[in-house]
Amino acid sequence: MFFDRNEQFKNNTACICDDGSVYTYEQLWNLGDELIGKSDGRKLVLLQVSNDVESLAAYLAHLRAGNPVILMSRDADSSIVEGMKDTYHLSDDSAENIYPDLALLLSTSGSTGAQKLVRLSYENIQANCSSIVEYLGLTCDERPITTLPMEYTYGLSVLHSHLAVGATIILTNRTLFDSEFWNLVEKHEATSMAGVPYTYAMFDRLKLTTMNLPHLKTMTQAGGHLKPELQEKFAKWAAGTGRKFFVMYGQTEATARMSYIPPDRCLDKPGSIGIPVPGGRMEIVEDEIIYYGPNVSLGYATCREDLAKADENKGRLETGDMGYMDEEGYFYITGRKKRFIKLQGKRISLDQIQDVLSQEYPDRDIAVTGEDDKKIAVWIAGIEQADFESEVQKLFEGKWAIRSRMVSVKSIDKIPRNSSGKIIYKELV
Amino acid sequence: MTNLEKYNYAFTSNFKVSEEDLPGLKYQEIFEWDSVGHMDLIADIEAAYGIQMDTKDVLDLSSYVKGKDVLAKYGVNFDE
Repeated sequence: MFFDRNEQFKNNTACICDDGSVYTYEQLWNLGDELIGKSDGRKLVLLQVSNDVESLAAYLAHLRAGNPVILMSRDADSSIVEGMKDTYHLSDDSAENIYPDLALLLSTSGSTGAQKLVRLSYENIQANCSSIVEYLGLTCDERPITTLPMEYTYGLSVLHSHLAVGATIILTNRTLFDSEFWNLVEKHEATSMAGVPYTYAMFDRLKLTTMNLPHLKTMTQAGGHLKPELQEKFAKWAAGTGRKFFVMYGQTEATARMSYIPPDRCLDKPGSIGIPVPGGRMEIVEDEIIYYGPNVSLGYATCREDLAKADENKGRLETGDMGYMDEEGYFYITGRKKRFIKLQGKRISLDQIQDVLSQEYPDRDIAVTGEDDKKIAVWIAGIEQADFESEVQKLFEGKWAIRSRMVSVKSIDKIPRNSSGKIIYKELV
Repeated sequence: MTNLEKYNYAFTSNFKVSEEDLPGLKYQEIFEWDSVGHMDLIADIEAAYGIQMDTKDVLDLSSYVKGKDVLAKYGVNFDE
């Protein structure tokens, strides 16, 4: 497994940190063992992480020790962390009722506070890691720089896949708008960067395609649909400068990645999510994309008891994305089966928000609508807009860490509903 | 609006802060001014003065105070 002590890599540089300190693989393993201390048997662990060597070392050591890990951001609100600890009985030190193959528990919704976790096995994370290594052609000469949070499945998969080949990770929490980030890219000769659509909007804002980055060879993108003009821009730049640009698709429910566009097809397949990763298979069933592969998670957990559950998905994932396949076997997404949107990299359930708001205002009829990276609209029947806007915005900030300016409250006479009482969202524009 | 008023408004409207908080305002020191907020701030400043900022300047505009020096390079005069 990628987290095991692999003698072959022990003297390779595993990571370079913000402060310039350098760790070999052996030092990283030793640091991790030291950090987690002597094991007195398998137990569930909640680890709050950021992109630093202590987080990485401790995480890998827990995997080696067989401790199932719930990964959360070090910046997560303490009430959310406490809620998670209560829900999953972190104080319970026994692993008696925890499924033996359970390795990792990841949230699907970033910092929205939902306590639903995806259950991932050792096989899941190793299988996805191996297929990523294969389709990206990773070697120990790679030096990715971190651009995504470690607890986010895509950011984590970058770490896994590079550790698997003995590569060097440039670990930083610096953001793209921090000039020190670009100093690190240059100084440590970063070879690759990963990004969600919003990261690419920032790369574009920073005119990445005009920067002098001689060591940067590979760019990867996932975590939502990239605007066609940005896909084209980065694909052309990559093709013209001998770089590789990978557009990919994945979900936490499939460990991380399910499909990718081979870089030489990126320009002819705009809007596509590509072909399945090695070891995976996709098909369309009743317009929905179904994925099969060893990286399909075991299932979800919403309470401690769920950690005892075995593999419920059995290698088959209903992605919830509606789509089709073209004659060359490339897949395309046309919409979501359920109402999820991406807001600046975060996955948000409009239905969940609507439910919570309806509980907050039991006397009001409320509907919530939104699109990727656009303002969320909260429709409330029979109010003066000014009465509620700032209050509702505060709720969004407190409960879901969504900024005020991403939320608007709209007054409406009556929420449109069909005869069975379901909200007709398309009339809310 | 004067140049200073436009500049101040870019911050107060994006980050929900009051004018008296402005002098001490720095990138990433308040929740609203993260990388997402920075994108919006730069877009509003560019629109307000009809300028296009270089990469280096987008990075250098890391505090309210520093931003004034950055914009001076684009001929924005805050005494007008």
